[in-house]
Parts: sequence; structure tokens; C-alpha cells
Amino acid sequence: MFDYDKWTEIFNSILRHKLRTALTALGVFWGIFMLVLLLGAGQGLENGVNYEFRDDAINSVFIRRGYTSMPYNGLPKGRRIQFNNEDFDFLQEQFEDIEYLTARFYLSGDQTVRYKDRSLSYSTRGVHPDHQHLENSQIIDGRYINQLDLEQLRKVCVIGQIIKEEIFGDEPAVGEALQIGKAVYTIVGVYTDTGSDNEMRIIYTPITTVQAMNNTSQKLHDLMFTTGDLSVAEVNKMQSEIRFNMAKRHEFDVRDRRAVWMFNLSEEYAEISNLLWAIKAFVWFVGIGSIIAGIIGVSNIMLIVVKDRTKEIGVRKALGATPRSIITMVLQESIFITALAGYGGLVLGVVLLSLIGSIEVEFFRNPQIDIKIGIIATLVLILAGTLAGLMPARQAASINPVEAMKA
Amino acid sequence: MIQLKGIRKSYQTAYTELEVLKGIDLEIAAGDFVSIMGSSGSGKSTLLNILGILDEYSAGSYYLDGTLIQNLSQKQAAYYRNQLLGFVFQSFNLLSFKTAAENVALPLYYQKVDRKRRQELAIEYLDRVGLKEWSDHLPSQMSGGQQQRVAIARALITQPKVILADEPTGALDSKTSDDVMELFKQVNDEGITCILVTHENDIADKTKRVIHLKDGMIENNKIQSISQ
Repeated sequence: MFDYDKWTEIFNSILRHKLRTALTALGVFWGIFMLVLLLGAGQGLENGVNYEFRDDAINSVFIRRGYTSMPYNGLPKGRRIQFNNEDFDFLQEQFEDIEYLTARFYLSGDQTVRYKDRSLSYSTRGVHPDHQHLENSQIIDGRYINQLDLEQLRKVCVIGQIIKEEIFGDEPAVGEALQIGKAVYTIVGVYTDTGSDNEMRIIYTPITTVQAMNNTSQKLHDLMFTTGDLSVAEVNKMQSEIRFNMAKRHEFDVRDRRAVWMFNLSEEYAEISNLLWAIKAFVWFVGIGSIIAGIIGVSNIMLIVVKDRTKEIGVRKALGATPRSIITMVLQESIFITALAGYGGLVLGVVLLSLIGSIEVEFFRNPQIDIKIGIIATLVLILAGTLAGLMPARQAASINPVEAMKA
Repeated sequence: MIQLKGIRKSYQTAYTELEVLKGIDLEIAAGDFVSIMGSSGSGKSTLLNILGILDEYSAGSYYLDGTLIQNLSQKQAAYYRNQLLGFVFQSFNLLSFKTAAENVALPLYYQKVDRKRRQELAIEYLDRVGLKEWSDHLPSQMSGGQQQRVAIARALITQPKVILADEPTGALDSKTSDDVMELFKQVNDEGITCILVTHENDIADKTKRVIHLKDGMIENNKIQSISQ
């Protein structure tokens, strides 16, 4: 209910102590402002990190060929390790925890791609169907490579959105024939990728088809897989098992890290996640601390206000003011100051964040706070104002009119 | 209107119990005009505070307009103060940041009377004390006598049964005191019971009845002719 008189009283009281009220409000304002800013910055950092990781599955493991750097069983160092289909089958059969698994076969160098009178050059990779999940590719037209393509050595391909635009413009690409190198492929799908533009300048074809074109049915270049919900420790354990097995089959020293390169993002990501969590906890700690300081400031000032108005409150009580009306008078003023100042801090914080948001820095992106946090903050402010005013209000209500008017 | 029987009031201090009122028996009829006199420390202010439901008594009974005033909650006390009583204080106790009219209207705010009606009544009562032209002035812009008249208008606006005045002329010169007493007499003539505490004989002489307090007891209780 809007009580005109009560609000008049409140404004009156505030206007009589402009500076005092303003300084108090500043405390709450600053507390909320800092909390919003810090939370936003934390979110920006998190967004930035997620953005850097965006185009790859974060729980993925990459395995790349290398050269041996240690002699082994009489074999010299500097030997090229070559993966083959057995490695793929081994991973597929031995590790149930692998979620998506793919190999890659790179066609050497960029391939000249021809369509009608157009001739451009793109890199081409042979992959397994799961490759889509490892690169987070989204199909926007047609479909991705499937198992049947692999089995039947179909000459089909999936092209990136940029290739599609560069060759076909607005015309549909799916179903068209594309000459890649010396062979002609049918386009079955167009994908897009949240990563850099280069991610969308790649042509994917069934790995078996590419192997056949290159006169091999066995060779693989890279192996990649995702590990689902496995913990970092479990992934590490899996990696050492793989390394052990590969060392045996490809005959290299298991300690030879350069023979087979193996790395995963999950460890890196987990570390950064922990760091982000710590930053967030710190932000809340500092932010809540400064809000509490602000609330204590309001409570303090209200105590002084009540002290100042002791005589007035005594007169009001003599004239028939109930304790309740005195309490609500003080509480309302406290809530009003807290809510207004806090809301000001909230708004200014959000405005500042949106200004910062236009700056693009690595690992920092789009700082913002959740609308939910905004709503919670508002409720917390009202609660805070109530808490801040409660003690002074009770004190005011307990004023003895006789004593008060003597003063 | 007011019946006091064996009213005692004692204050507990750190080491002793100080009895301020030692058994007061007093009846004040509706429409009476009473002054309470006594030296300082005689208990007259304490008695007035008990009458005004601003303070509680330790023993005895107090009936105000037929209602036993005892062990009231703060809310009930506030209600009776607001409905039955009007207060006039020595130091006026007007709110310094409110105009005369706003001050007069204040008791009606606690009766939940709407703002427009409050304003009308406030002007009406200011008119009665001869200060209609001053309704928009702040207390600091008025003389002591004017302020006290504003305070009287504030006490009257709720149409109380009893007006309680604590040294209403204590801060005023004799000419202004006479004006204020004249106003009390008018109020009393309308049938409102008036009780005032004073230590000035010529003020007490203007009331119908004088009660002398000494050491917490009523010394004598005489009715005097108003013509005196």
C-alpha cells in the first residue's frame, strides 16, 4: 500500500540529513557495485576460457605420430612411427569409456577443388563419423559422413560453410559434384563450426575412401577421442595404458614421449576450472564482505537518526503513535536507502560491464551478470535494509515518551 | 472521569527503592478544571504521566472514562492516549520541521484520518486558537505563546475527554500566560476536563480546584471559587 504520509516523513528525514544519508548510501552503493563488477569480470573470464575451448570437445584426447628419440631393442632413434587401422581398432575394442573415436588422414597439402569453371584450394581430411563430435561441427544442410560411406568407400564429402559460400554462393551445394584433386566427390552435407573461419575451410571425406585413393588401406595420421565423464585421473590412466600398448606394437621405448604425442584438454581445462572456481569464491567473499560493511553503515546511521529523533519519537508516542508505526517508519527509511543505493550500484555495475563487454581480449569475453543474480541481489538488498533497520527501529519503539521529552 | 485509588509509584534505583507516589486517592469529575501543585520532587509530574498513560504505576487502580488503565500493551496505551487524552507540554514539543497546521494534524494521522480532512480540521482548530494566518509557519518562526497555542490546538483536534498540561505556562511571560490560561478556560467551558501541573499560584488560582502534592501525598484538596 502506498502511504503518502509515510513517504513524506521518510523524504523529510532523508532531506534533513542529506550528507549523512548520502555517505551511508555510498557504502551500500559501492558494495553492490563492486560485487556486480567482480561477478561480471569473473563471468567474463569464464566466458573467455570457454570461448577459447569452444570448438573442441573439452574432454578430448589427441594422439599424434612422432619420431622416436630413444633407441629401442636395437632400433635406431629418429624412426617415424606410423599409425594404422589396428590402432583404431585397438582403441575401439579395448576402451569402453571412449565416447567418440575418430582417426584422421590428411591429403598432403591443399587440394585444388573444381566446380564448373571455379577452381579453389582447400585442405581435405579423411575422417570417421564421430569426427563431427570431436570438432563440434554442426550440420546446417544434408548430413555428415556416416558408417555406410566408410564401408562402401563412397566418394562423398562434407564441406564447411565458407567453402559452400565461396563456391556456391546462395545456391544449394548438397548433391553437387566437386572435383577434389583428381577425383570427383558428391557433396552430402554442409557444416558450420563455432571456431575460427579456417575450421570451416576444410573438406571431410570418409577415411576409407581417402585411404584407397592414396593406395593404402591401413595408414592413419592422427587418432582422437573423447572420454565422456571420466575424471582427469581416469583419463591419465587410460592414456598410459594406450601408450604402453602402442610402445609394444610399434616397438618404441614406453618412456619415449616423442615417439607418440599424446595430450588432452581435460587436464588443462580442469585446472582452469578450479582456478575460475577459486576466483568466483573470492569474488563472492569480497563482495559480500563489502555489502555487509555497507549494511552495518546503514544500521549505524539509523541508530544515530533514532537517537537524534528521540524527542520527536517521544512526542509522537504521546500523541498516539503505536510502536508498530514507529518501527515501520524507521524500517521503511532504512530499506529505502539500502534498496535505492544498492539498485544504483547494480545498474551502474551492469552499465559498466556492458561497456567493458565491447573490449575483446584473449581469455576475457562478454562480462555480464545473470538476471537471476540481479533479482536475488534486489531481494537481498531489501532483506539487508530490513536487517539494518531492525535494531534501530526496535530501539525507537522502546523509547519512553516521558524520558524522551525531558531531553 | 478520572478515579485514582491508592496509586503508588516507586522507582528502583541501584541501591534503594524510591517511592515517589505514596498512595494517591483522587476523583476528578467530567468538566472539572484542576491544577496540581507541589514543589519539585513532590511527584506531580509523575502523577501527570500516570494520568497520561505515559508511565505505569506500581500499585492501586486508575480508571479513565470508566476504563481500568492497567497493564496495557504499548499499542493499547497508544490508542487510549490518542482517543481520550490531549497533551500540552511546558516546552511545547512541536515538531520543528513541520508547519503549524501539520503539527496540529499529527494526532489525526495516527487515527488514520485522510490527509485532506486532517488539513481542514487543523486549519479549523488553528482558527479557534487565533492562529489561522500562521498555519504555514514553522514553529521556529513563531513566539512562545503562539507555539503553545498551536500545541493546544494539537491537543484539542482529537476531541479528547481530558487535556493534560505539564507547566503549560512555564516558559511564557505573564501576559502570554494569561492568554493561554484564557484559552484553557474556554476549552474547559466546552466541557473538556482540564488538568494542569504548575508551581505558580496565580496560574493555579485560575482553575476550579487545586490539588497540593507533598512528598508523594495529597496535602489538601480544595475547591475554590472561580471568581477569585
